[in-house]
Amino acid sequence: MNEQPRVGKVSAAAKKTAWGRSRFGGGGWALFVGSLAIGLPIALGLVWLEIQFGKPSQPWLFFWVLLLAQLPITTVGGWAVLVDRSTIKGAVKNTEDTIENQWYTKATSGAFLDIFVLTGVGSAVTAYLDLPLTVSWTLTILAIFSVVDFGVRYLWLRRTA
Amino acid sequence: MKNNLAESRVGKGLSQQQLADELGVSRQTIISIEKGRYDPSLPLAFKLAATFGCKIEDLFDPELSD
Repeated sequence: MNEQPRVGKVSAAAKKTAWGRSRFGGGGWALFVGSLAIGLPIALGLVWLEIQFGKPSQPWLFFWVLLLAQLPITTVGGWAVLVDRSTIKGAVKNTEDTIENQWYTKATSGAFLDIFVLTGVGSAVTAYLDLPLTVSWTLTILAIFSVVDFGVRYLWLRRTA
Repeated sequence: MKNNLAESRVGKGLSQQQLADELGVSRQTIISIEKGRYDPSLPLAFKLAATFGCKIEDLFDPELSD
């Protein structure tokens, strides 16, 4: 009597893969093709916009470099939309109840406060010293700082758990 | 918050991974609850109580803090 459900559980678990399957049916390849079908037009659109605004001297080189850089990101975005989370190996059902969710919340809130302090102190120092920081450099520093700050905080919480 | 989750789990013959799968959470979550380093949400506490067929206060004791 106990054998039936156990066999069912094993076969369901065996269907789980690293990249999962599409929520609309099909296997791993269907999910990959679907993700690419979403990611490719978005990447092409972004590259077209960047060429229009950037006016590069070598448009085809610019096109291929940007396409190769952005296509994996937009394809992963498509995968996130299409994938059935329950078919991903190691993915938990109730993420909101996990300690990892608590680490994430603590790390993001801590990083936000750090950014608050950094931007406040940074704006005062740069205004006082009259430092010629461009907007793009400032935003780049802020982006890198926020990612590193979050990462360090998350890893620290995980290590001390 | 202290708890007797580890004893209850072992008494039911479940591994940490099996209990985590049953509740839809990570194994690390179970480890942290058992160590008293993570207080579960109320829905998760109810699920734990339902899994072991007892009340929440049978598993968790707010009087016994670290």
